[in-house]
Amino acid sequence: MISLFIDTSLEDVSIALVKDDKKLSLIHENIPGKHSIYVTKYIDDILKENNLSPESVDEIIVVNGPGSFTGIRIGVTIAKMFAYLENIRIVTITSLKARVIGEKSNYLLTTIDAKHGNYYVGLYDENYNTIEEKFSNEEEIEKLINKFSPKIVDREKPYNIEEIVKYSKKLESENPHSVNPIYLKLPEAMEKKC
Amino acid sequence: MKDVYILAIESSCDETSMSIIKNGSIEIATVVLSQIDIHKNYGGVVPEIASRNHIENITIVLEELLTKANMNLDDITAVAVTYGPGLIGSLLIGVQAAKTISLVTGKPLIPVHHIIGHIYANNLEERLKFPLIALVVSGGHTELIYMKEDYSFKKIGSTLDDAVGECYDKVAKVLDIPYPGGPTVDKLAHIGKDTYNLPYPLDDNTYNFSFSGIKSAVINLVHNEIQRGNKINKEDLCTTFQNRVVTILTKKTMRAIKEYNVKTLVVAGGVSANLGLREKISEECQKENIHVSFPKLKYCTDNAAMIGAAGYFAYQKGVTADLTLTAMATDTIYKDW
Repeated sequence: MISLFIDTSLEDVSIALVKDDKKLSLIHENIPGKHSIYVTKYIDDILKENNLSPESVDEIIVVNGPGSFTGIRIGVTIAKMFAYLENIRIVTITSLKARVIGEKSNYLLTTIDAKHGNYYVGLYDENYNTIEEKFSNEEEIEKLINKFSPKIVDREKPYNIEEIVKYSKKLESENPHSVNPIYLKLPEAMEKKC
Repeated sequence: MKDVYILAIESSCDETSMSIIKNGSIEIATVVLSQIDIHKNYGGVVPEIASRNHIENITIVLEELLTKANMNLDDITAVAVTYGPGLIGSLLIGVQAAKTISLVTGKPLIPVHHIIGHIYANNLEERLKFPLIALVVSGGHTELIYMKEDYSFKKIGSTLDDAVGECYDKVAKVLDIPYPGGPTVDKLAHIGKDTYNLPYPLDDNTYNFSFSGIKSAVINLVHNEIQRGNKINKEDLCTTFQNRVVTILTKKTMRAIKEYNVKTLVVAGGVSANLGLREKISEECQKENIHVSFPKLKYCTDNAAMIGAAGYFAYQKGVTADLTLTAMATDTIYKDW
């Protein structure tokens, strides 16, 4: 079973190949503003590096947000098109949950800076079930911390990709047509209208 | 010779479109998913909303296309995609989709300039005859291009500020005509009379255009009349405005035809649907015995069929890209590929 993991939600891009539960390769690069150029090439490179063809990929795990709007669209477009063309299993995981997987505690919390004093926050139980994933601010996050006393997972913590792949086995395969980014935030033009 | 089937993708603005074109001239099938009803609510295209819609539509449009064409990707020779110019967030979706198709199928990837696509829309009507002058008029472009042969481009003039289509939409806006107002201005212009005092935009001996002046003149005129408590005669103002614009477009185009000694004129882009422009240019071309070609109305707006037609000639010239191809919001380079 070959799994292709794609995360382009932040400045750091991660592309990984996992065979069964073992990581074959990982491409991890900090390429701010260059996702559009390199991500498809990285996928090509990682497959060739392992002497694998695109057809040999059995499933795709894609991080669908939150994060940079453009970043997540790049990863998700590639992932859904790849899965559609090869007719393979595709599952999505949020950038927040991907980071806490592999950590152990009754409650887990992590955040992503969304600029101007705003954050995306994710709160999970010990089985990584989502309690809260939303666009938030320091005050609200403080409340969550007081209420749940979660373990706070550092923003710099690298993904545990093998654990993510293991976790993703529990998820139901999605229809590539309906795999889309989760933004947790409306476009400004729509906010003004609301 | 083996038939060449190009799968083409266009997503530069608010249309998600894919098409399969045979040998640069025969449309096998095209799907266009327009978001116009969504953006209408905002009085224009909202880039972030456009990107969000493209990604939701992208695989659905491909599936619909393959079903409509009754083909699968094994039948395709190469994948062509609009890489620019346009809205960056919108272009990106098409480019990433095309790169993924190329990666998975191993088919060559062909980058197509949006304007070159508009010109080649005319090749879906009848084979282009060279040398020719192309007048490209749309919401984002106003350009005169000389083509010596297939896939050879020399830009001889362009707008220094607003594109002509953009100017039409702004004039429509000040007259409270709902977005997209350009076609309505054209309609009203056919009813009214040329009674207002408006300047001719950049009436000089270059091949460049400028439409911000006449746009401001219309806006000022409307505001002044409102302040004086006078009623605007929309039809007459549209007629006057359209006469000025069409006169200059036609005048400079006809001069280019003479100077470059060509017998063919190709009009392309969204504003090539404008009836006032079609009538005036056809009339002048008839006088001068110039063959003029306008795209079919369905090819005037953004569509992937034109990208497939252009993609074929790019492919013949050996124009391909690798997987590092990216989208470009502003790319005005016309190189001799």
